[in-house]
Amino acid sequence: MTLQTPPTDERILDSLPDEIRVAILTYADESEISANAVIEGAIKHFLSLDASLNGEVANTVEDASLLSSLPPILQSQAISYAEQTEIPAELVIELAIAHFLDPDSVTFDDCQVKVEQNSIAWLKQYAGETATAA
Amino acid sequence: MTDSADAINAEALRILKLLEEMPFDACCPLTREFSELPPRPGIYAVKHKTQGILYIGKSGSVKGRFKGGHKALGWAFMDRLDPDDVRIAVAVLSLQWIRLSLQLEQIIIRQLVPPYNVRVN
Repeated sequence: MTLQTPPTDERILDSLPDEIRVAILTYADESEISANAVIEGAIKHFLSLDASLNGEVANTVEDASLLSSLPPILQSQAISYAEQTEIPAELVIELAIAHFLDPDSVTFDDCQVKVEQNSIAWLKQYAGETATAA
Repeated sequence: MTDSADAINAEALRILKLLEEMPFDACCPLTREFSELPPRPGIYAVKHKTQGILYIGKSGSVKGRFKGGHKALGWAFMDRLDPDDVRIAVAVLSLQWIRLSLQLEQIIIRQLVPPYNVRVN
């Protein structure tokens, strides 16, 4: 039997606790975008990055890291934030997703998942801006 | 050591002291962009110039939390408080305490009983 690694772009979603993953998939469904786009949107939202941010930056992390699932420009921004705040770079993903799902949370441990209409509207707008920039 | 109840309690009281004693002028004024707030995990206090701490909260990004609107500021508005008399004090959480933010917040709220937290509960 051959072991296959999951597609790179599903690794973050697969790593999430069940309740968090369900919320991301709900947002993806409601916003008519991929779960990966929801995650990328949450990270851009957390890092206050422009939705259209799509610069050419080389991969900066090893493939084994969850960060390698992200576009290189998001990797570099997440690493920069992690260095400034003195936290592990992979924790930035958790902080960003938790903040998107519940702005009163810090990590998944205290995240009370909510699916908010204004967040769905923001994701739709974000998807539109991303598509325009592409 | 970090996980022990004593250590968590001591850190919560340290943060509470820091938030209480931060001079009003050194706190972040209310603006549309809250540009002076840190986009970092932290415990924050909404403070009134003379009434003291009105609300205690936590967030993975204190700046992001306020940019999205905050009910404590809505209550301050409804209470006819002058926006110039309301500011935000922040204690940034280090990695050591990030996963214990809920416990820290609860200890601080129990100790202080801020009026706007009472409204939430």
